[in-house]
Amino acid sequence: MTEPDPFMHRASSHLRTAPEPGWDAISDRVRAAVNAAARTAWPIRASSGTGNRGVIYITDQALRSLLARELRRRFVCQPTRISFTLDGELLRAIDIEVTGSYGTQLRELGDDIRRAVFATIGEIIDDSSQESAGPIDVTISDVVDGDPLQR
Amino acid sequence: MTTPAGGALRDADDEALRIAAVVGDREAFDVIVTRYGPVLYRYARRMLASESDVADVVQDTFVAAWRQISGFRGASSLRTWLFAICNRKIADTHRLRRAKPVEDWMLEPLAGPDTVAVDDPFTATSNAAFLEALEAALAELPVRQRAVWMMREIESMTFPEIGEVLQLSPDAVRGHHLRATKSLRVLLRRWQ
Repeated sequence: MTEPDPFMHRASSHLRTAPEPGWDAISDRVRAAVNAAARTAWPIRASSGTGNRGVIYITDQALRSLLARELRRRFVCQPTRISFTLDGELLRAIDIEVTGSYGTQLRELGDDIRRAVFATIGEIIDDSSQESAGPIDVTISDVVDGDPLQR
Repeated sequence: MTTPAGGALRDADDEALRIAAVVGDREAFDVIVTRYGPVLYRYARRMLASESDVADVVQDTFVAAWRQISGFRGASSLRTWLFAICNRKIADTHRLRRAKPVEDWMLEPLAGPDTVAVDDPFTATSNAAFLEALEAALAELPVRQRAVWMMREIESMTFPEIGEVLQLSPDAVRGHHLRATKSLRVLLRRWQ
């Protein structure tokens, strides 16, 4: 076992609390690089073009990020999985898993999540692109005390 | 009944942030960057010779972490995982800050009428001077000892966690830590 060393402890405290102006100088650049970093993604058709208007796509990654943020902000839950069933570039079904909180009416939470997801999808993907859209399944895979984000 | 929680991520623990980032929540990853940016920066700064390399390494670390996080199942802590990526990026530069001897005067306390008693270097002399001596002493340590000492003493990581980052056994890490501490005590003896 290492013996406590007050001198070294105070020395390390000094280093720990010393400001890092170098980080402040580059933090915006780092965030920009992360935001620009692509991950493997599949295109989902958001709008069918008519005539020469072209087609609008949203990637599954972007849609997943949007839904995760929306659910986290609106409900006491933490999304732990959001997956899409695609038929080519058409969205067919959504499968969502969340961690809920004790004291929450879980079935009501599931219904609320389904409605919120349906509304969000409706804002992004036009009717013609989701004509045969399938179910939005919600699974509450765990329940914890308090806010799942603050465990 | 569901209650809007606001989804406050700033105070979320690392595991909650990891799960959110795995799902694809970019805001969660942004909080990870905010939380660990300064931590990785101060580690990389003391390991690399050039300040411009530090910026590149930290940036590359977070870009790689964002790309890989969907495959990170939390076998280690988020901090250990990030340090391991950062350490690989540092090694890839081949521009490590090698141990270099420093002049004795750089490690000495400031002499003067108000600084005769050096029982407490943190109050008897300026913090800035002590920090400068400490940085110089750290730079004199061999690379691996320096890395171990920083992760242990500054980041409060356990020996097994450090071992995971450096691909060493916990006992080997403990040995490096012991030697680093002894060396620092000798180098900074005038401050004690």
